[in-house]
Amino acid sequence: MGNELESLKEKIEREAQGIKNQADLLKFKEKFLSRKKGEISLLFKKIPSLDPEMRSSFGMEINRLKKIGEKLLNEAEERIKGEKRSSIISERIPDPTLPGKKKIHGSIHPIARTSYEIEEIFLRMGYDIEEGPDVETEFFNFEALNIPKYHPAREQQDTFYIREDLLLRTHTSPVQIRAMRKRKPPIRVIAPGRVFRRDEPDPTHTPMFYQVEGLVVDKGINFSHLKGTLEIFSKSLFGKLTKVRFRPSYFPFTEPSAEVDISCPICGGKNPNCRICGGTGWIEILGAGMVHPKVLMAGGIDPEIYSGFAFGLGVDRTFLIKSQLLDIRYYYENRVEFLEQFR
Amino acid sequence: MKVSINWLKEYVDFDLGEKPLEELFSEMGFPVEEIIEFGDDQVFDLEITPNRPDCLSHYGIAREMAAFLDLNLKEPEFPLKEENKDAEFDVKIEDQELCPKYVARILEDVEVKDSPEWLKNKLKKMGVQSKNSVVDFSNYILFAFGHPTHVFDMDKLQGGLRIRKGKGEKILCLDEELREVTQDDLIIADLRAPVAIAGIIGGEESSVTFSTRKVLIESAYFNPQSIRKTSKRLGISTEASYRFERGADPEVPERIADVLASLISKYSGAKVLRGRIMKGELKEKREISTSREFIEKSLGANLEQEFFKNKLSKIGCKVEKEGKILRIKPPSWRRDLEIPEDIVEEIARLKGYGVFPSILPSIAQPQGLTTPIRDFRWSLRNLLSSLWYMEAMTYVFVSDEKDKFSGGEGNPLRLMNPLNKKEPLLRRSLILTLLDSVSLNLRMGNKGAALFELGKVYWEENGESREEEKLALIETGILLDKGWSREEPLLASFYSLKGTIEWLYSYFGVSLKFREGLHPLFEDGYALNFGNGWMGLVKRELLDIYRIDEEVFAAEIPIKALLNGKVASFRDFLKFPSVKRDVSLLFSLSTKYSEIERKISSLGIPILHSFFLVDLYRGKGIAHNKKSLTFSFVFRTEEKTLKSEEVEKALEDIVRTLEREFGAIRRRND
Ligand SMILES: [Zn+2]
Repeated sequence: MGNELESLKEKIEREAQGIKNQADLLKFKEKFLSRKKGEISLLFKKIPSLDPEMRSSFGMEINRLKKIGEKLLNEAEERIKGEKRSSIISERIPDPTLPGKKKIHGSIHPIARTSYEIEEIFLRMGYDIEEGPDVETEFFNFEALNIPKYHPAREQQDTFYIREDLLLRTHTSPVQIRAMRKRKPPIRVIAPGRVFRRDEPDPTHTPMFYQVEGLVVDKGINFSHLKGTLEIFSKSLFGKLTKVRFRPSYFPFTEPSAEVDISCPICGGKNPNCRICGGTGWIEILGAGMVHPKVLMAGGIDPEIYSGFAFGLGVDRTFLIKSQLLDIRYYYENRVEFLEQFR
Repeated sequence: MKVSINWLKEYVDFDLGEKPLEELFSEMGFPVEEIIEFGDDQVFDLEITPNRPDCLSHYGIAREMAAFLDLNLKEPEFPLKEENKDAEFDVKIEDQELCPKYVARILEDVEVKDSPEWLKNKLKKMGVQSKNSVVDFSNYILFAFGHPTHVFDMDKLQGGLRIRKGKGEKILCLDEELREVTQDDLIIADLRAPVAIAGIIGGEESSVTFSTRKVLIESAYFNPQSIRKTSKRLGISTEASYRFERGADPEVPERIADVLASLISKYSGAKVLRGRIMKGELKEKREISTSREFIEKSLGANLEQEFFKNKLSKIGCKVEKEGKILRIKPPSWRRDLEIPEDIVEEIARLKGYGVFPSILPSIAQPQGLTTPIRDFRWSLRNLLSSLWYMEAMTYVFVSDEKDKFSGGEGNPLRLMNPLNKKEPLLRRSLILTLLDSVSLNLRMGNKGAALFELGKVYWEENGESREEEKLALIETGILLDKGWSREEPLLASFYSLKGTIEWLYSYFGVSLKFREGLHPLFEDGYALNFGNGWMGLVKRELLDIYRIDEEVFAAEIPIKALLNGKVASFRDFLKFPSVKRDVSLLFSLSTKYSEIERKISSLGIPILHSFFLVDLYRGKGIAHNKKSLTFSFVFRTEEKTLKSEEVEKALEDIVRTLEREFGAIRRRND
């Protein structure tokens, strides 16, 4: 009898190893563990024919065999489940090193992003945002800014005229006047927007570009405040190590007037052939100055009580410096190959 | 302004290399644009701002350098020997306002020759062609001292000189152009005809040539605005007009006439007649009252007491102190010094902008307010760029031909001086300029493009200019190829664009209703209107102007239409399950979805929660004039679980209605 049990055990173990799928599992269960016809159940039927003293030990042996069978069945079932999942997974993930599936997405124009960056720096300094019209009157664009008719400064900004007294604004400076007339000191505003100059497009000129104008009017505002503000701004925009230089210049609407240079963020003045600074190590980024008393008056503000400073910078140029863009016309051509570089 | 370094050294001694010199000019406010090598000399091209005509000469720059570096300015000597014969000529200023001062000198027995080499050389560096030993010295004086002069062949002048306005006469100028002078222009005329356009250009006929024997030197002061007006009107700018329109030194014409007479007599063997012919006079008393306190307050820094007086007198100002008040008389050549703020700038400039402290102003009421529209633009940018649209920025100029398609309000605004004569109008639709970018992209070999722009349109209404900010969307072609990333290519389409608009409106909580309509931008039958917005298939006729072969879909929406959407109100979760039923029906091809939609909604079935289109099928198994539409109907109620009979009855109602109204036939494919 012992031999019979032993050979059945070997058979069970052998067949359990051969289980490959759900059908094999069922077959195995049927063959060995079925209550009615299973080979183990059939052994129970032999018990009555044994010697009484053998019966209980034989019964225990059969039970043990049954437990082994059930255990092997469970193990086979787990094994098959695992194999099935990994075959599904390997179909879904054949090679984790394959590239990801590209997401469809567009892009935001670099000029918009750069203007936003500039605006945010001033918003955090407590400036409000103002906007003005693109089609401006001759008064706001020139007269009120101390640029009378036949002033040479008008020639520096070649203007698109709609009528004698109506034009496309050549700078965001008219918003200075609009802001002064609308608000009461203390005034702190920035005005981003499109401006237009009648320039033939070439790598450094376009007939339309973006500026950000700034204006501060309060009691006791002086030249050192202008310097402090624009220094902080330049360092925020171009990095803490940026050096800032103020040079005398001329704008009819400011007195004194200044041009602001930053140290070249590309070469630091070390490359004599630098495309951005031309080897001088300095790049002009801003025009600024103390608001001219005539301009304060045009804005309805008493220059005996208040003073202020104003500044303007080109957004196109700012991004050109940051990105080392070769040709400023690319901004307004909107080629996909250009736009997708600046998601 | 071109400055020869060797020439500069004739008036001031300095020993500076290229770099330090460049830095110095920049600090003075005259950035260097270019440095040109000329053998042993260098020519610096300086950018001189329009407020500093006094620096448009070598002597002027030297004077400025002397002030900056505390150097001595060297005054060159020009000895003058006059003949024992008076200079006489009939000169009259007829317009004292436009010509406040006119000085003339007469030279006889002039032997006009080739100029000496040193002079030719100097003029060459200034970019001027040598003419002869008389004309060249007139030019020399201009570049040396900044004051323009003119020389006439006196034998060609008939009877006298009149400084008057034009009368519609014609004058052949030195550049061989015939120009008409009107009463807006100041001219110099003899008793017969114009001989020069004052301060701008001389006449050919009276010009000094090698056969000239008698020379009249003109050294005058002309009204800057008048010169500028005429120069602009005639479209001619000369070295002389450039200086007069910025403001010449009104006190220098006498001396300049003497210097030029001295030079011509020395190099052309001429005899200088006794005395100047002087007409008009210019008296001016400019005085600026300010104080050290005001200057220091404006600059935010204290300066040494001596600095003010020393530096201001270095630049030619006369300074008197009266208690705390500084009375400053600026020199005649500094036309730009008028108000105390001008003195503040001079002090800051002479001190160097770099030395002043950098301080942040204290902010009394910090706000940092942005405008609602600025923030909204960013929501739009983020939303659209997270779909497949790329933000574009386009110029605003369009042609008359394109504008006809704009469908914009009012009349277009027209530029008087467009850059491109063919594009004189400001856009009334962003789509018109976006099409330029679409066209370029396709020409550059892209298979498609999807762009959006946030920008303004412009128009004119009752003589007033108007502008409004709009959002435009445009898409065409293949936006993304099929491949590893996508099983199907992403194609621009009417319905994709329509879906974008639906998504935008629902995102911002704005109600949206499409209506079919007619719009000049879009093909008839393929245009939809929604509030103030439009979308559709762009007209072939318009695309042909841009040479676009692809079909293009576009939309334009006023930004304000999307502002002020409603915040969605909470709808409670379903307590009872909803039931979904799909039904396919055959319709005639011409039946509009919007009509079917309206009909179903009009039934007002209380348990019908929503329905939507699942599929549109045409082709195999269906007559060629039919289409099959599959709808999903969702039934639910708040009160109970729906019984199947209730759902079936409602569905039956819908199908019956569609059969009756549109002749639809229900398809049973199960
Ligand atoms: Zn550099």
